[in-house]
Amino acid sequence: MASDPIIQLKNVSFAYEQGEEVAPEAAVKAVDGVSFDVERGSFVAIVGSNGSGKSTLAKHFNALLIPTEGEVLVDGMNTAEVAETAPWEIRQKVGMVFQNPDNQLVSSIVEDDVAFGPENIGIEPAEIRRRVDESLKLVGMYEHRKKGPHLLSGGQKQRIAIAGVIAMDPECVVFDEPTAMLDPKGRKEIMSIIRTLHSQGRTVILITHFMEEAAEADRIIIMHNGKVEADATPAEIFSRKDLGVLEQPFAVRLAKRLRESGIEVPADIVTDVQLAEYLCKLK
Amino acid sequence: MQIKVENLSMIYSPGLPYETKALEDINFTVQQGEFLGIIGHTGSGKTTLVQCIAGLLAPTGGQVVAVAEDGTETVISQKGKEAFQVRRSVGIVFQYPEYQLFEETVMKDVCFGPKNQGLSEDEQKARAREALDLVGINADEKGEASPFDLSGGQKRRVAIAGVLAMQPSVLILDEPTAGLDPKGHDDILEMIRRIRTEKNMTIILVSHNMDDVAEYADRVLAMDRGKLMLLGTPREVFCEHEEELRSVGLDIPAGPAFLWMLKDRGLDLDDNHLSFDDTADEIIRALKK
Repeated sequence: MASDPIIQLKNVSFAYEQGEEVAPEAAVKAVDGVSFDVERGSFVAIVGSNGSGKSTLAKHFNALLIPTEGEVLVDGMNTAEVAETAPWEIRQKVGMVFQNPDNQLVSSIVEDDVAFGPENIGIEPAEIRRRVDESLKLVGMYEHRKKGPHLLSGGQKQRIAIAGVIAMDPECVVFDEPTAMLDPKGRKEIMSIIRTLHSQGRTVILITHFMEEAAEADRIIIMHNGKVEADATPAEIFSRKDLGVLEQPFAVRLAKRLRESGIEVPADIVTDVQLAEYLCKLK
Repeated sequence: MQIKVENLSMIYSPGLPYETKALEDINFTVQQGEFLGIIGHTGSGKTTLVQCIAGLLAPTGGQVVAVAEDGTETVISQKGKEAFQVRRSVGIVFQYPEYQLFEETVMKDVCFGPKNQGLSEDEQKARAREALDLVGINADEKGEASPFDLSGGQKRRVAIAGVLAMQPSVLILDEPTAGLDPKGHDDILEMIRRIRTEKNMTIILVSHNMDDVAEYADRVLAMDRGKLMLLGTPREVFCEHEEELRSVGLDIPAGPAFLWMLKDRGLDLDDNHLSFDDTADEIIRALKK
């Protein structure tokens, strides 16, 4: 497959400002010499313990942060250069959904909130209407379009935040622990929206602590102390024993147990659905 | 101390268009030293329930009664000195408790509760040391550090220590592992289990994680739209009532959920298992049959 990256990281490092007394070279790097490409249309999960640099890294994907060393290219544009002149060009390509939906909603009416982004970039009113309706339908919140966000549950608010990002029609959506504050039902709804976006051909980058969610990606990147510790398919990642921060998903643990008792299970099975379908074929 | 919840009801904005029945006629009892898990959707009334138990909210109907060792009964929400003292013995750790840290040093932050209880400075410090020790933070190393310089998991521990320093006999935790990585998650739960064993403390854990509830709780209470839907051991709730849980969109632990998935796809097996080991054994048995 020919390489067609939407995001390229070239030796990216980032250090938060430490105040004057700390010399720049002594500052702790939250992201330390990270290089990788994200293929257009792929689904990448980024995992790692609290403080490993995942969220700092994610903020580089749409120029919310500019690397202190190295460079980030979004669709060929260097974020350090474009951030000065036209950051919206990057943010139209790469949208971002954060952990806490309450921090992302700006309007008192759901549909106004979703229209906020497209209005700001000067889209025609008729086109805004179309995008708002389409985005709200995609996240299953169209019936709630006239409500105030404060009357919605956390999961519903998160879906509105996602609709607001989709209304910008980005090629890539970055989710930074989008389900951390949600109940199981809310989590499932968000994962189903993520699958839909990926199936539409959009690039999805998902930062998560839930290994069951990461298992659904094409590729998992593990961050540790600001560096990339591993970068491989879910099957490879979960079969490695040297990766301390990880917890294996239920399906991977169960498959291992089944193998130990003489039942053959292919190594590329990492989700519950894959394992269930495989086991039912055996019988 | 035993907690009796009697005909508890809570109506928000009564008489207004937004009137909401957050709790409807809830009845149950929690024994001293018991570990109770509370599950339910966002909006099912879990938080309102625990706030009533902690005496932070006065219910619109019914009552929460604390029964002391000697049989003395005190209504938690009533006015007066006795109820005030009883409320102090119920500690509550809110979601994301680290947002409540505010002092200059870890030690001062943990001392805040005991200080408000009117204890002497020496007593405060002794309490704080013990509480920090319980959550696995070394007071000599971290006591003088700013709580804001700690890692996410450490901040949360310090915040929990702040509640433990008041020496509650009932500890309520609302989603204490939200947002933590897998290791931080396990560490916090193991810590809660240890505190419970060492102090014979009653634990009430509000959680969305069915695997945690199944593993740690003695009994599980499921809430649905303000009503008590189920109450029983994890096995009773998750294995005998899984259809009901599913009908209201609640999860069940990974083991039974997977067995259910296999059964649904036509595999002949018994889905009445809870732990990982039992689940695996049942699948192996069904496949080798």
